[in-house]
Amino acid sequence: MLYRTLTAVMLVALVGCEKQYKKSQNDDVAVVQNLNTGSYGEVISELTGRSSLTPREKYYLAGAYSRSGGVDVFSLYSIMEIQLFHKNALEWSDLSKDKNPYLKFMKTQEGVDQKARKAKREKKWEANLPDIIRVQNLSTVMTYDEMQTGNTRMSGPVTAVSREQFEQLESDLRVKYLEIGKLEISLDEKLDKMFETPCVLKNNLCYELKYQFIDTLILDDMRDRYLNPEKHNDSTFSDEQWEMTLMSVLWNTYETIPLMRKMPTLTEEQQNEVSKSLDLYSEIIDNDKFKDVSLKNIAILSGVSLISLYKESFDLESINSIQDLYCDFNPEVLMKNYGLIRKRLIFLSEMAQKVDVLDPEYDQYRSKIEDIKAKLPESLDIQQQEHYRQSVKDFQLSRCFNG
Amino acid sequence: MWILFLLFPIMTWAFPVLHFIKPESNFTQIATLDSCGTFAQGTDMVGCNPALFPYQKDQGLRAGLSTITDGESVEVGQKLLFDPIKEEFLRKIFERRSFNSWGANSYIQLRTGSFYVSYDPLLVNADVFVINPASPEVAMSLIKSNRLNLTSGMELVNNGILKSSIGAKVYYFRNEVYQDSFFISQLTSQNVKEIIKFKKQNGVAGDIGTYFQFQNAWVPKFSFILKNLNSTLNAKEEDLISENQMRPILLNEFYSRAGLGYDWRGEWGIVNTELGLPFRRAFEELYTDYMALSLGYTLSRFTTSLSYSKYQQVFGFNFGSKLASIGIFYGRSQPLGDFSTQKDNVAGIRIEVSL
Repeated sequence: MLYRTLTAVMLVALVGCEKQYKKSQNDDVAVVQNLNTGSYGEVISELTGRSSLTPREKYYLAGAYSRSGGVDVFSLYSIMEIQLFHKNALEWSDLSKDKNPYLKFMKTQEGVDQKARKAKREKKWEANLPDIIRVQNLSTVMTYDEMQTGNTRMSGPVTAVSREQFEQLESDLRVKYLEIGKLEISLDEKLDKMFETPCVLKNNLCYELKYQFIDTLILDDMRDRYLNPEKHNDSTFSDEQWEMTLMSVLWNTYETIPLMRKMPTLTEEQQNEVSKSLDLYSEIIDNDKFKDVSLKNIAILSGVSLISLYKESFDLESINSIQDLYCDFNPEVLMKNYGLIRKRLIFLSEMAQKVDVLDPEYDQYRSKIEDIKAKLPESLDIQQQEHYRQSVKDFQLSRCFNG
Repeated sequence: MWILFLLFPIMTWAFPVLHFIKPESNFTQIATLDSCGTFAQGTDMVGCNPALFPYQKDQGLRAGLSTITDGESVEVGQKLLFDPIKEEFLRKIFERRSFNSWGANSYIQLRTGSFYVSYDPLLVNADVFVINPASPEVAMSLIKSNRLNLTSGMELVNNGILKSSIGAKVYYFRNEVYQDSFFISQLTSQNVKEIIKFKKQNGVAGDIGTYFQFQNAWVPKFSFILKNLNSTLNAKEEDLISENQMRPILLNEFYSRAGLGYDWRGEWGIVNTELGLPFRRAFEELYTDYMALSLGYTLSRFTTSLSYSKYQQVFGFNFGSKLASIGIFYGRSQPLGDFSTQKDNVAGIRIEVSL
């Protein structure tokens, strides 16, 4: 009897100090369970009812809003070619070779190897220079001996000046040509300056040489535009370069049609949910743990939101060629959603600045956004809208109805 | 090498995680949920309690391994290992099995009348929990260890009233551990090695056990064991209840066990029973949710056991000979306890051969 009592006492003593781990000790257990089972409404209801949220809870709420907004980021990972989905686990250590698939999503000319392309173009330019000069009806600066052949634009064979006089004149004009070539002014202004350069010799030879230098300036400009197209791609709503930009955008659009087809089309209400999600990610982007994932999710959500608006401008199901794409482009959708598009772009820009992204690829991406941001007016006035409509219409008229 | 532990693993839920297979688990430990510290009548019981060393008779060189061989966790591990991960597969994980886990151990052991010395080339316990399909995050606990163990014990008292013994296991360990969480999106811009950084640990730790058996049949046998003294794998309390951290419990951390057992020896074999009481650290607080009741039956070299606890139930049988033994066990588990109702049905084996 004594032994049994002792045993019972010992058991009671042991059980007296108990330790349990219960889900009631963690307020977010139900939140995580609801997230995993797709009950996003309950997550939103639960978390928005709290007086304050931790960064992690904001992250959960942002996720719930994005899913509620129709953006299934999870499925987008495979679209954007995360190699995790293409390789078995044994090859995961090689995933780093495939960096930043998100940027493919925002493909621009910046994805091109500029250095290699420039080297190729330089060779091509040199090889075709005689034909370019011939087709463009331009001339190069001749020597005294070449002038003797009489194959000049206006003065005929040079007979009235000595070789020394010619060389002095050519040298003076060349110095001026080099000075003008370095000026940051338009081509027309350069040509005017070259033309207005005074000549010591008051005869046709002076004009002949000036025209040759003027042609050389024109050739230099053509060469620069060919080798460095990005320097000259300064599109605005009123700039004639708009057409070039449009072509570039259309080409990239054509390439991404398969991707766009898989992207969700968001309603206005869903766009609002996406905005809430973006706002929450922006609140935790300073947190070390969530900085990287927030930035990526912001890029993805903004991208999906923008593409959703953009894709509505096309009848993607009936596009069979790039011509179909630009001929069926409807400018009204972008016009109607201009405010939201601008908001998203500015938001992206602000977030990129906020986190001070160091990756050079992101820098390019950021500079592009900054560039666009600077040129986007707060709203489109009637005149700008009409200009945009007309630009698209002119483009379509010139490209789509030419047989 | 680290990737092997990513692969086989498992996807699990954060919070405290229960495992069937533990370092050096012998068949009885697995099939009784470690509630076998008073099973002095069986064979190969040193793993249950080093204080049972004086009552073991086996000698020689043995090698063996234990592993979970069947169950959805194993299927998930195989898919992770051999197939590219498809969106559909991850969706399934979210919808049906956010949590998966896997464990295995292996050893080679020299048994003498004075001590056991063993080397465990590979001990693995892995848990993976995937959360938030809107922006997937993976919480992982991956523990890879190898150990060199020395076990011995002695009888302290053996008179007409009390039989008592003490034993100890000292082991040198080398661990590679990852216990944290990461976002799948990180895989797009960072090398996996940068994300999953294994922490290396080494040191000396050990178990101390005692055993008491009164001659009065009404009084239960007692065992008290301190496990993993000086372990480097002690979880913080906040991590144990965090949804984005996973910490195995009653596995590698410093904890203790008390056992109250009865046994009956008859012509048709030996029946052992025990109430296993696990405690936080050195008998500080009783884990009432993880208490287990076990029952074992041994006839010659055949053993069968079953045990029950709130979150784990297991049944197994083991056939042995002088040359080898093979044990098969079936378990049902709610590995995350109160934190998730997800249940796992598993099957596993333990094989041991004489060398």
